[in-house]
Amino acid sequence: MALLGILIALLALAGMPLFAVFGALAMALFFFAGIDISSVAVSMYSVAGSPLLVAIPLFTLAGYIFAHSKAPDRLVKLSAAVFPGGLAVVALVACAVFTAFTGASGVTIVAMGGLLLPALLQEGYDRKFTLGLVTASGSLGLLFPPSLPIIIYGYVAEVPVDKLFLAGILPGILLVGLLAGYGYYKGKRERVHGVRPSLTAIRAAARDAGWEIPLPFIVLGGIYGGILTVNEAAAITALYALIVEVFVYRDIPVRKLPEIFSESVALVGGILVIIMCSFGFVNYLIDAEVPMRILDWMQRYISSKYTFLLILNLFLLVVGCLMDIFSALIVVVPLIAPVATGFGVDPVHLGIVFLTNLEIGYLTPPVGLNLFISSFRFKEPVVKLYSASVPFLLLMLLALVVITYAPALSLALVNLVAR
Amino acid sequence: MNNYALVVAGLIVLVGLAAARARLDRRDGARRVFDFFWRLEIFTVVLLVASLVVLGTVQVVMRNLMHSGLLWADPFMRHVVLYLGAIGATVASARMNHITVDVASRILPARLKPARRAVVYGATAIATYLLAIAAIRLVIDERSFGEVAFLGIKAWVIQLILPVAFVVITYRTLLAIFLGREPAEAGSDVA
Repeated sequence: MALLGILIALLALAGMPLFAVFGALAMALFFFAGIDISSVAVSMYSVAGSPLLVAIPLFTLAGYIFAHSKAPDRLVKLSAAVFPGGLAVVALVACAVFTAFTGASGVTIVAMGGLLLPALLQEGYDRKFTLGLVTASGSLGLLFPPSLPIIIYGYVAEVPVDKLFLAGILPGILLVGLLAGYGYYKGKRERVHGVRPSLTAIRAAARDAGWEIPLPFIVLGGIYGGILTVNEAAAITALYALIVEVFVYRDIPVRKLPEIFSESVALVGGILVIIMCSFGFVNYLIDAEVPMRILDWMQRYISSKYTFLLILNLFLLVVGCLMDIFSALIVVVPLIAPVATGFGVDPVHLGIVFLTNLEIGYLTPPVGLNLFISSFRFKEPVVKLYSASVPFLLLMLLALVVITYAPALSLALVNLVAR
Repeated sequence: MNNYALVVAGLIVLVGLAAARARLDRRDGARRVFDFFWRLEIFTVVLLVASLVVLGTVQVVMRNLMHSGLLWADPFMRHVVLYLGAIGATVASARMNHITVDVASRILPARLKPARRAVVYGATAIATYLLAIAAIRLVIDERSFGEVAFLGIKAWVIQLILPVAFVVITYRTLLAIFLGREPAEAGSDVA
């Protein structure tokens, strides 16, 4: 068993698809425990038992539709009109909004980066700063509703998604705010000539994006007004995106739709098949009381919740830079959540800490995903992106410390609404 | 399917199919057949996603305006997600753009890359083939229970998608080895 486990782990590092890795691990565990391997398939079928997963293909479809339309362009123009402080600040805000609505699949860097990089360079920001900024903003906004990783966390950890949506808002603003502050300072110091916000510019940009502006309000208002469930909000978002981008703005010709649908399904299939295959593996570990054993072992050495959180952060940063966010959530959360509860960490707060870590993991050398997407997209060597993203990485780590050790930041809005 | 011989025979058939498909890659007549199946797959996927959008919206309208809803819509949508997972994975296999950790392909020297690819894809094919066997056993078991999932449809009939999907994934992984490229790389005719 141990030998087989090592072999599978090596194959995983060599690039075997993760769903096959988890499927193989689960089958091996069941086989050596004398359980029929069909148990793995039983776990797969249990995907059909979860109502929450319905939101995933719908929000992803909406995201792909926006990414293929001219919505990124309009979003940047609108942010540029509304937010003073230079294009760097604008870029961060626009990317955060875009990521929230498109999940965190690297779409942001591909869709927005191509637009922002030349614009930022033209305004006079230096290339290194610009590359770092675009790379960092690829996963910024992950904490804002209706981001896909939040939904998946809620599903895996069995925490209500609407609470998580609320909890992510202030920490998300902190992250964007810190980076935006740096961008503002950089713009001032390098005397980048920015455009002054004017009412006419705001009006023109708002008119252009007039059909897209209501969407966040529909989604959030719908969910918190008790009119929409998360799944229904997802269906409405997808329908809204389809109608607006295909029939109102006519950015996307109807004949291109099958391609966009299948692109989004390939991503969704990639995520869902990992959920399906890792279920058996995770269930086996839970049945074997692995989380309880981790808890026992840790409690022998650690007594404070804050030391635990520190170790959790270090662990998650490593996980975040090795694994993509979806598989990390699916496999790690069920094992760690009971341990964290044992240390008295609030499950909603834990969710935000988790997601922040994984967001930073996207940017952490040597294998953070954003670094590679950026390197591919902008044809720059990865090593150059490592150094370019360091200042942003440090700022995000600072935000992580605040988010971890000030649970109130995550829980204030949740408690306010619950009251 | 306790019969090991049958399991091995099944894998040999799949390898043969993939090898044959790889040889027929350039024949026009064959291409049309492959193309038809690929379009069918994409069409199914589009239909499934569209059904989620439509049903989700119908539910919102019915619940808020008429205070009612379609009872079968919820289980139906959940099963659509299962199907999207299964078929989406076959689509992802055609492009081999599954989610991976893949440290090796970033650090290995270029001359070792084909070898890495062959080893990893070979192992993947074996794993996904075993997953297909596991799914077949599930279907056989379920069939003897005869449970109904929703709308009078038997659970095992729905579950058939699992073995089908994993067989297709295995076949496509093998095909990627024989072709020496990802199946969907050159045009859209994957089958």
